[in-house]
Amino acid sequence: MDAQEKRRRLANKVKVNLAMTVREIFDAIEDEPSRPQNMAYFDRIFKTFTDGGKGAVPREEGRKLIGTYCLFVPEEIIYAAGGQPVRLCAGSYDSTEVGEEFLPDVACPMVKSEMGFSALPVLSFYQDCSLVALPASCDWKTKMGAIMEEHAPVMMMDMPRIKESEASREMWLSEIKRFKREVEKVTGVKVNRRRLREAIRLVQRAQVEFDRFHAIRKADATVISGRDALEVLNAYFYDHAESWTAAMSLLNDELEERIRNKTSVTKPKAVRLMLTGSPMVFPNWKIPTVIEELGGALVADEFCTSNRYLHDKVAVDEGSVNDMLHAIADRYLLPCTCPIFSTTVDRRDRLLQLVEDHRVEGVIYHTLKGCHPYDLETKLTETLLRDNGIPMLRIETDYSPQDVEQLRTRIEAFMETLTGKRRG
Amino acid sequence: MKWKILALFMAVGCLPVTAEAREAEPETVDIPMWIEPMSWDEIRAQRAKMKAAMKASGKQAEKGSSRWKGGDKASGTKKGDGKKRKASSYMRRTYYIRSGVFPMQPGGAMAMKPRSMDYGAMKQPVKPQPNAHAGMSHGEMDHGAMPVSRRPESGRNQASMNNTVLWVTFPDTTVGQHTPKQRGKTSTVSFPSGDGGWYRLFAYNDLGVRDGSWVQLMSHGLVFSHGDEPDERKQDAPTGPGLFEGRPILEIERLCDDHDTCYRAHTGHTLHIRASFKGKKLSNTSVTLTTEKGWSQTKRTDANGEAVFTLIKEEFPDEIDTRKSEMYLLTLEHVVEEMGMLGDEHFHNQRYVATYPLKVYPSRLDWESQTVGFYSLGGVVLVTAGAIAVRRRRRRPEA
Amino acid sequence: MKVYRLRIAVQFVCFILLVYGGLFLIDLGSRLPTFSCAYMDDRGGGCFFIGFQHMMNRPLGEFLGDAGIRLLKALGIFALWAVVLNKAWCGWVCPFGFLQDMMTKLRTFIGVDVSRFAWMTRTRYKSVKYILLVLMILIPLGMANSVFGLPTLPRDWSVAFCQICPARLILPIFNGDFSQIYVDFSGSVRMILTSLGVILTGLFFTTAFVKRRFLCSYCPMLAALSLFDKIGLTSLKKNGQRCTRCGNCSRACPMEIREIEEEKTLSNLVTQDCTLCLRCVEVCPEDKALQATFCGVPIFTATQEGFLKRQGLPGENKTEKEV
Repeated sequence: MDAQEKRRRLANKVKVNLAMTVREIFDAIEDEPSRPQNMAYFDRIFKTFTDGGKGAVPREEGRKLIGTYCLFVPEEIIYAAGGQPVRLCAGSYDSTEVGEEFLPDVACPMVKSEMGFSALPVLSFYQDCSLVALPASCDWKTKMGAIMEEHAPVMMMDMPRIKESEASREMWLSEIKRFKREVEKVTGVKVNRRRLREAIRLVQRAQVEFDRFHAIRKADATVISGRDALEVLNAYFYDHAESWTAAMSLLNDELEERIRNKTSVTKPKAVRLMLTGSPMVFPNWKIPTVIEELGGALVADEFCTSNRYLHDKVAVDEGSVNDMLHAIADRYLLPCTCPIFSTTVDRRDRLLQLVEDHRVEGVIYHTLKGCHPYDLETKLTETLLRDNGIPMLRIETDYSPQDVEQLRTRIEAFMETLTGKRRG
Repeated sequence: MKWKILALFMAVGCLPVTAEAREAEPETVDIPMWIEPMSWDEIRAQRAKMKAAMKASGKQAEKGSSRWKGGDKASGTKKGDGKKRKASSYMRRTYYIRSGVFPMQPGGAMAMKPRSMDYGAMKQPVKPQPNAHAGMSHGEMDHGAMPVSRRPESGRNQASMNNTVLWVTFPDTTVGQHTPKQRGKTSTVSFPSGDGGWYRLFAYNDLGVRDGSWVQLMSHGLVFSHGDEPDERKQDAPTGPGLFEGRPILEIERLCDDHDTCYRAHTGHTLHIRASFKGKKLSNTSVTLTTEKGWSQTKRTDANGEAVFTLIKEEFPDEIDTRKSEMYLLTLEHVVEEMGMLGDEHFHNQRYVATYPLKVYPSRLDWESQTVGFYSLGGVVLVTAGAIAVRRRRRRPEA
Repeated sequence: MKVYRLRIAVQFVCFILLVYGGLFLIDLGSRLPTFSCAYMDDRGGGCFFIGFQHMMNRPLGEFLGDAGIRLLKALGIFALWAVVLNKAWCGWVCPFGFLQDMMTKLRTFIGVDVSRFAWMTRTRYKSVKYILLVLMILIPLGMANSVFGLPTLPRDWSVAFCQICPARLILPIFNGDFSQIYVDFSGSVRMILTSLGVILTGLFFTTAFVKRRFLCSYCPMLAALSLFDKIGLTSLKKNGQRCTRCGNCSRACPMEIREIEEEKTLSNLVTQDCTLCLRCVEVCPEDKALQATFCGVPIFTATQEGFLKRQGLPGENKTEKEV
């Protein structure tokens, strides 16, 4: 069997396994009567994963696909240049096995999964990218670029680690400008003032819907499950901002109606939990599944793949292209609560704010094995939460489904502690 | 032989004197009188003296309050409202009242006497010739400085200065009458100037009947003092020597337009005056403007009694002293063909001679260059704009 | 609410009031903490500094007497004006600030990009305005007093600040008076000072064109008003807890103040450079993170909703040239 054949078989295997995983997930949640009807739109996107991801990302004729990683790559620029952004962060266990060929064992499962998808044609949008912008955020991402190069047209973006210095900001701005030039080369469309302003508006409209959604989750009644919330925001990776905004708007209307009717998806006295830590990407829903099966209410989360993704807004000051680029650069760097930065005071402040706003009773801190930034943050977060009287459960795991039962036990115990604390 | 030569010299030397003396006794007496402010040096000297006097008399404690309290009751300050104003020596202004040939320069200048009967002729400036005038004291030949020690020309005027009176219109529109004091051979008068605003001065001297004419000399002045401006005060129209229905008999008013706000006169600016006699406009009368150096120009007032002069510039020194002022004198004479009796003297006409002395400062254009200013401005703009453009171009990353 | 637009309107009204007020017999006194140049014939009020320099030109002993009373009176009036509006004099009233803002508007209209200081530049030259203020006090005193037996400063140094002030050259132009644009050759000191004035005016046209409110960074009026930063009735407050350090505020700030972004514990954010233009509050996307207050009462608060409205949302796909 030649190498080509081997690859094809492997790709198929992954495809099949992925399809099974996805189906399993949807079987569990789709028939819930309390599920909002407007979730169907978002379900469709993820169901395409069973079929090579066709149709997940809208492909207009001639529109170039620009892959991104993390949340540092400005999507406004891609939209302005007439491209379609797709975030390639991956959560599939099945492709991690492929990735392990390229990366050391200790590497974080997410990069392994991404590597796997890039190397093998499982989800089409990985191979369809005309450009892949990869910010050198953590060590893995930094090194992944070179390894990925033979499979995808990678453009590395240097990332500052110390936000407070002037040099960092200038460096980041020049990286953004370089990115813009690269995208323009790929799409052949020049980013001018009008296009950029429109793109910013486009994304801002999506962010407005997100704000609504976020406010909805602060209500006493949990009108949407944690997994659905993660799904909705995860869908933004793939969908066009405009159609996503429209679908979100409908969903928000429905959810606001639910708040008025006091329809809840969880039992009345369900424990209010918050998830935070290393990114949790579909279909890596191990933990939220367990939590919700145990009857917990996932009222908030702080992930770069969900809550943080659409929170901050670009603030246009003067309206020239350079000014907008400066605004974009600042927005993507400064308020970001990713722990790759040297000081993470903002991250902790944000966590506290979320806890307060959503009346969270317990925080589950999830780290992926090999994820150093979040690992290093654990102690600080634990101290912070303890000082504020909020219990925290620390879970270190990877994508494999083997430790689900252990997790269940631990989470159950944690939830019982919280219930007990409530009574006492 | 030597004696003869000496005698000849003396005779020749005396000729101008005798000629002058003869000339000095014409039928008509064209001797104006004018008000002259003290020079800064004199004011400083006066203040220093006052300070020393106060110190000596143990008024040190009042050092801080010397401005508000105390007072120099040197000259009689009879005001229209009868109240005495309290002011220290700082808050007073002192003026000389001089009379004689203008301009009076130390060493004597053979200036042209302002002739009232000259119709529109432009005089040539005459170079000062020293030693040509007997009877004039040789003061410091301080070329360029304000003439300090001037004396009345002859005993004749000196005697008649005793009748001089100074009217001051204060910023609060009240009018006060002040009597000058003779100090040595000059007349000095001072009045309180604590209030801020314009002060109008009017000096009047009735010379009596001279050579068959009743001669009255007048002088006007306008001065601004900084300070708090007072409210207007009502007062009955003043009466007294030199006034006709509350106003000076022969009045020269300086009209101020936009550029010339009367605060200061500069060379190159215009001097706009209006003459009136007993309240009525005085038209078709010749007015002469004379400078210290001797240049003079005569014009006739128009139907409205107004005349406009351009203040010429005479000095072009190498070193600019922006504070150096020159005295220019405006003279106007009005003859009324009316006979009458003054006391027991008979006169066949009345001659009124009014003057308006003016301190003229160098025009700012002498030392300010707007051209340099504008071009420098343009230069700076171009250079910095260019620098900014170049810097931006260099910083732009390669496409 | 688009505070930026309201501010321009207020600035315009104040400009008319201060530059042409004399024509309508308006006189706001000559102790104003703003550049209403005394060399303007039709001004509606006068800049404090010219009177101040004249008042300081006195022998020291006189300050125990009426010269001191006069000075205290003037300072008192200045302080009253300053305490009420605090730095809003700079951001909302100053005619010269208005002109610089107009230059900025012109620049954005043409489409030229903004220039910014490096952080070190701002830090390094922060003290220039205080030095100018101190010199403004010392030079007139030096003219009337002899220090250690040295001769007093010659008269050329009178109103030294007015000689270098670019507002003196530019504001009278609006009264039709170009005569202040000159170089005075009557003495070497005067020549240097008036040349500096011309140079600064030239910089107004270029550097104040590319850098927002360039000259305000060096303004001694800002320095004088900054003495009232913490006690002024008009103030700018920050809630550090709600701040995400997104940096919008510093980026939008014409004076490029870093403290608004960096400070998380300090509450009163009227720093020495602040002109209370409230741009920072306008671009802050977090609810209640920044607030403008008057006598402690909030008059303008940053809200997410307001932020979005000002950014032009919800709006159609029309482009607006400026927020």
